[in-house]
Amino acid sequence: MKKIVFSGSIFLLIISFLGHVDHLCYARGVDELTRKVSDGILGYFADKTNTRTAIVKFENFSDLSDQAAQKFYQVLVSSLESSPPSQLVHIDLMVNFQKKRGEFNLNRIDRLNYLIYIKLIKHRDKLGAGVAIFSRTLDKLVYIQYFEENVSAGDREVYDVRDYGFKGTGFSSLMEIDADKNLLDFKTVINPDNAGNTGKAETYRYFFYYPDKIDIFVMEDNSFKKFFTYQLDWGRPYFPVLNKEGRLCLFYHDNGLYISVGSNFSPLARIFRLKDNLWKEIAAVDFTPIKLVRINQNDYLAGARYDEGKNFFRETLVLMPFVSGELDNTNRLEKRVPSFYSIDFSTARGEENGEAPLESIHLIDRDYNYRFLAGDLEERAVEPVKRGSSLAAFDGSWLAVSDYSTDVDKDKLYFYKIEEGSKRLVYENPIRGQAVFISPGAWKDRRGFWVYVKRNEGNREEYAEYRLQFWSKKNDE
Amino acid sequence: MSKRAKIIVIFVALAGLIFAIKPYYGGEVTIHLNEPANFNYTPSDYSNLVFYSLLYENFFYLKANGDIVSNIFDNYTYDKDQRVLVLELKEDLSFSNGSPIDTGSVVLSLKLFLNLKVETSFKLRRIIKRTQTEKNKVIIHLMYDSTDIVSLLTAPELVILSGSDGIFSGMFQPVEWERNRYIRLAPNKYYPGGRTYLDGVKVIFYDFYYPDMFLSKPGLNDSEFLEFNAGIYQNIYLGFPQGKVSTNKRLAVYSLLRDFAESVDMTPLNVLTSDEESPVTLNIKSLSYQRVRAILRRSRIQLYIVASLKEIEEKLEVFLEKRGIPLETIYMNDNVLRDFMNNAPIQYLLMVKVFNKRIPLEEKIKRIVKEMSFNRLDEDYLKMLNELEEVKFLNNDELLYDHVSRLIEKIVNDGFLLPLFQKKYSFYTGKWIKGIELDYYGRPLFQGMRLDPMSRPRPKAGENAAETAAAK
Repeated sequence: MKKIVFSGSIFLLIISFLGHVDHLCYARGVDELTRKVSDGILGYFADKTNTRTAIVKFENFSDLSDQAAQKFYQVLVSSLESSPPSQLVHIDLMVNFQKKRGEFNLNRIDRLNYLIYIKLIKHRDKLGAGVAIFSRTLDKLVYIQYFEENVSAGDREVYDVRDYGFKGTGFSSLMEIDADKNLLDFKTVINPDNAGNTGKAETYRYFFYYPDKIDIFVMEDNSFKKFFTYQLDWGRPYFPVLNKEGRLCLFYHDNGLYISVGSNFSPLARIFRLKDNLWKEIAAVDFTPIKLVRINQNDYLAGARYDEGKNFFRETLVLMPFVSGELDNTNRLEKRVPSFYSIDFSTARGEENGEAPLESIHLIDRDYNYRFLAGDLEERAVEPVKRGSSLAAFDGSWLAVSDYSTDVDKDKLYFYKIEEGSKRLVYENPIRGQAVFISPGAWKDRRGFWVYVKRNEGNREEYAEYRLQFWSKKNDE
Repeated sequence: MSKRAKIIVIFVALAGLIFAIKPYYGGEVTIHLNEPANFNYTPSDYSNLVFYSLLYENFFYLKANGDIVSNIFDNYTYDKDQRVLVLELKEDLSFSNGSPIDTGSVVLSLKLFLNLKVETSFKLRRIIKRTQTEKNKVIIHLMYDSTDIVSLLTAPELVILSGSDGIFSGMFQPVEWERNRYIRLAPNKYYPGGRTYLDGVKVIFYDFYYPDMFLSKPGLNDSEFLEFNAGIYQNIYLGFPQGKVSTNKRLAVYSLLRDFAESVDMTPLNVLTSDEESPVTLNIKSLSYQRVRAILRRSRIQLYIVASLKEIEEKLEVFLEKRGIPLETIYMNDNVLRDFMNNAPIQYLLMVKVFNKRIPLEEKIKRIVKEMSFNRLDEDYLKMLNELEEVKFLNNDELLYDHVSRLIEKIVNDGFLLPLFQKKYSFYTGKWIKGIELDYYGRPLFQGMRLDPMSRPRPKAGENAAETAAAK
């Protein structure tokens, strides 16, 4: 997968797109300082190999605004990330920047060899940057350097524009199909018969979760073909609801495919094992599983419990040990959080099925605030923004969140880069209709997000249309 | 014409509330109503009808636009030739205690309804031959073809009952009752229509300046409240169930209560239904105070009053004391009234009947005869009612009104009922409450009712102050 590189020259292009051509020449001051800092850091690591580093402290005591400082940081990180991986792997850990300080997810700091501190200051009319590098191996500072550059007022102004210049690009809807009403969740999973045969249409199976059944489809001749239907019989107690909600969770473990379904109309979620085309119910749990995650080398089925009959989850995250295909209720972990509408657990990039460590947890609380928990389950302060009730993360690299919109015709998808537990808004795209849920998944050879969209342009329920869209990045490979 | 008319029940379309911003669950609303005598289903006035609609689920709802909806049945099928109505019960429904709502519950509820002394029960008793159950189906065999059978099953009094006290089928269940002050209701998590958006309803009985919802006379024009006028009015009658009352005494009690009504600013009623529709206006001459006092001073009259009129208790006591008339008042719940009458005579009875102006005049008169004549319902009345039924199908308004007039005349001349006063109602709700609609019978449907988190109710501090003041 290609990375997005915001080099200085690309940034200038952004500026020109935004109509700030007048300021083009002034942007050089900050850009030059960024280049100096980058060169200084890369120079230190020039004779080193296999180093992993991250900026873990970034403070702004200059007269740059928070936005401008954040942009300085982004350009610097892009520059550092472009270095050869054999020499240096730079990881972006920033989750937020406000009030002149960056907030970093330091949960995975043990994976780093070097830590970088950066401080911006104002020195007369100049912008200065102090850089310090700390070696975790040697347990001491190994590099301290100060750089400065003349920065004009115009330069500052240019850096102060909002930094999401290409937010309309990147992700796009690659396909759309009609969907039935009452679809609760949708997931894709690699077809066990074709495991390893990636890149072909029949590589995946597509699971449609409805209140009373799970429909499984495969892709044949560029269209969905129903493969199997599993009828769900919930039994008592049953809580009738006005708005049905539910989550489907799929993961492979020990050569078997595990499928769990939870809902707001039954207090128990059901877990099945599918092996050799046989469905076997192996357990019923009192929470709705969302994902299998790994914490400290142990696998946990992570989820939360719907408040009965309502459209949100209760205030507790549940992590139930999953050992050798069995659940261990006695050693379950619980973590208090505000009650919330949606959640997803992000694991390391490229690894699903719980074999990768938990990196971050993303949720939208009942006041529509986005909240971020690091892999240690502790909440980190992030920029307070209102978002819609749907979100999902995939491949440990991207997070998609819907908009805080009450307009029945308009919604938006925000795409955040979340690699290594960071969080940075990169793209935003308008969508027609309202996102009911977002789910990570695949279509053909691409990975991305499935979005269940409701269109109700006349605001009359009988004319509502439902679509399932697949969103992926154009330049992803 | 198709032999078999299959009609799919229209479900309450609330799924439309799914947006990126979800409908808000939570909050408690206050509603001002009259205090019920108990939680057993005994609706006798408009306020009671609203109250019990919170606790008990109807078989069907008749919406204001004429749609019939049900939270109990998946669908129903009426076979005209076989004269059979099949109701298909939804699966896994439960009462508030988690016990199943099954076909047995439906049959029992229907049976209890048929035993009620209300007009629709009378009608259904004549139509329904027998019921049977089969898996999740309740099969109702009819005596004769009745295409409006399902419309009859929308009667507000036809609710799902468990047969036991303290078990409810409606949206809420009571969790706290402080007599003369309030009843607090919590959501029934098994409610067949789906858990309500509200986390609770506090039904208050004391004067509290701004509850979130209340019933009051139409046209208040309060900018903070929305008015829903369903055309509901409530008539209060003085009845003489035993019929062994002298004309003097009858008129004396009538005159006394008319005086009382005027003293508390109630609208006098000079017709059996309402001024707007009645072809006959009654001219009942009231006796003078001196005459009334002379007749009633040593008469030891016991006036029985239905419990739904308990709101007048205090004012009536003061009024009687001032007038120096020793009238004994006894308040009785509707459900014990009839049992009581079987064992002991009731000569004077103050009772209430709720009407909707959309219901035709002849239907109202039929209700009055059937529901308030008690053991005075004789062959003459039955004959006149049958004639009225026949005239109804002649589409001749003049003839119909003539029959209605004759019936009214007989009711008044026989002296089993005298109209006293009338109260008209609108339903008011604060503008911060969303998703409100009234059904055909003027009852607010609470299922889609929710607080708007964007515009919260007025500050609660004032409410507490008002509560404290009211309590004092």
